[in-house]
Amino acid sequence: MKFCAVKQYFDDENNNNITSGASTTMIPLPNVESHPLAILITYCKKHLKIKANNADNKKETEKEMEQYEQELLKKVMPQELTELILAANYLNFKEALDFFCRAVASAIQNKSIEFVRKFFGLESDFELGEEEKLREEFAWSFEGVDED
Amino acid sequence: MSQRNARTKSCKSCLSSARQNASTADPDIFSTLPDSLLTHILSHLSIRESVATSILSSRWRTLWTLVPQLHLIETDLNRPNLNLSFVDIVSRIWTLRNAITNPMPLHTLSIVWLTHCHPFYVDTWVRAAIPHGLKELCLNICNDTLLEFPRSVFFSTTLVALKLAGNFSLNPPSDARFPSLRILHLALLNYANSESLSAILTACPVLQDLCLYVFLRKDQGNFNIVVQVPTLKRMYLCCFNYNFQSSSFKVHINTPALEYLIFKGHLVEDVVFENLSHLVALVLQVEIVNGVSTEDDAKRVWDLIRPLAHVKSLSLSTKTTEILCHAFGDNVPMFHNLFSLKFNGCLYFEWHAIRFLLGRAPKLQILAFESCPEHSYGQPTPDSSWEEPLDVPECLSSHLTTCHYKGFLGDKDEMQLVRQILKVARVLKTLKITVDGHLESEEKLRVREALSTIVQKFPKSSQTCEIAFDERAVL
Repeated sequence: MKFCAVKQYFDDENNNNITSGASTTMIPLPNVESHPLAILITYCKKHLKIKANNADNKKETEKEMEQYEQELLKKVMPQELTELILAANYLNFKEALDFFCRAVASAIQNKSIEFVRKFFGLESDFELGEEEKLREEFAWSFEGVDED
Repeated sequence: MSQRNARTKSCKSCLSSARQNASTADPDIFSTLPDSLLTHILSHLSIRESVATSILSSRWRTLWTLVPQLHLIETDLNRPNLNLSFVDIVSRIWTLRNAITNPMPLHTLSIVWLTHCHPFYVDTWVRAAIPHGLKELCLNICNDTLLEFPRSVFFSTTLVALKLAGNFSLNPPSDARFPSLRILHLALLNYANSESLSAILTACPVLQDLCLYVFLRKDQGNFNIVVQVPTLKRMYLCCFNYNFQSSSFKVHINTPALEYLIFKGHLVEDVVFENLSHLVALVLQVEIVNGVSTEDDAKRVWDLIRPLAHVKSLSLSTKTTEILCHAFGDNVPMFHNLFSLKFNGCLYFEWHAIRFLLGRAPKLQILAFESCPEHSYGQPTPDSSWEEPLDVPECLSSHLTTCHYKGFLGDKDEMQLVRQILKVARVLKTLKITVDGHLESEEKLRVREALSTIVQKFPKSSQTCEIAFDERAVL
């Protein structure tokens, strides 16, 4: 079930016996901007369409989703990813949340510490020498890094 | 796990153009994300990369310890140049994870250890994880010494998925219980006795997904594979017996809720499928132990398939189709509900066999072929058998909407097949041709020419047919 938060709203409405038609119900989403919401709706529609096209074939569905996701990522800025992640989380849209988190993970995979700090907008707030100690302690995890 | 990594990698190549803008991003943008979402991001990294983030800033110091999954892959986590073995590094990871005030209990533990595996440590780590609400346990190990499975596992109330591959000794106690287990995959070399498998299945009241790879040792004797699980929906059973002189197996499946069945194995005397009235999809890859099939073998396979003729989707390997050919008599059932038919394997064309089966599936809409790379196996089909048959299978002209050919090489038999289908399928909407990624340039040229012939020269009886293929694969 996509957009679980919205479904919950509809369920609550039904429980209160509100009989207004679904097409005219306005659902307040105070925590979601219109731009990320538009992207999430498109993602959701596309996912459902691909699923329907491929009936029972899970492999084909995954392959087509991958292709669509690759196209989508070309149009999304890294900073938009935060908004998308927060929106998907608020709407309880699991597949989109997984996808956007994966996208961020892939952006920082095999990158140097400096690059990742820049990507997340972080400053090192360690005391003198503490960072050196950490580097030594975790030396085994710092191998295989890409050039920036 | 490997599936997830593949998708993460494919995301990577697309963010490359957006990456340049990272330096101009609003500095605090990601700090607005709560810990739970940051750990969600970390859960998509390997454990090595996740641990490396501890150096980013003081907030990130222990963030990685909050990820409730551990995927420990031996080839990723040993550093001989630093004099650190897999066991050293995993010990370090484990200790640090538990050194914070409220350690995050593990939900998923997976270990892949295929060289120099010490089962003692696997046992230790499993015992440490089980009491804290472990939901998913996946072990893929290659151990010389047998690993007796820890008893505490058999009483886990939280385990939802259990996947084991390796030299384990499975000996479930009689009061074993897995009240939450929905997924069970076993690729084991050792069952303590022939009752162990039934014992573990009886212990799973909500099991839905079962995958069994059965390996028969030389002196195993008789091994009974009895699956009577009323809640089971999906089943994959693979049992090839190469030690047939000294060992044998029997299969008995009685699973009334089953929807998907994949059976790959040697056809032996005792294979019984019963009570499968809800079956939707069947995949069959049956082989004859001695290689050469007879009419009796064919009848046995038809006996197996006949009660399952209500399925909507059927997939047959070419070897299975070849066996079935020996008994194409009147006792062959009609597949009244069949919506999708697929042939896979080394496709040497038995057009008459394909045509015969199509004639038994009056409502077929999807026809698919998946060719394996060792393509030119068997004899090329004589031209005469492609000649216009007097009886075109009804489904081809009235129902077939989709045809998919995977692994196209543009050779003579494939072209004939495509020609026949296009000529006859009046309501065909899509003909999708997929090409293997790694072709030589002469092969690519042949495929390009073949595709252009198909598009431009082959007559098509369907006005709305679209021929789809990935151009990039043949450039």
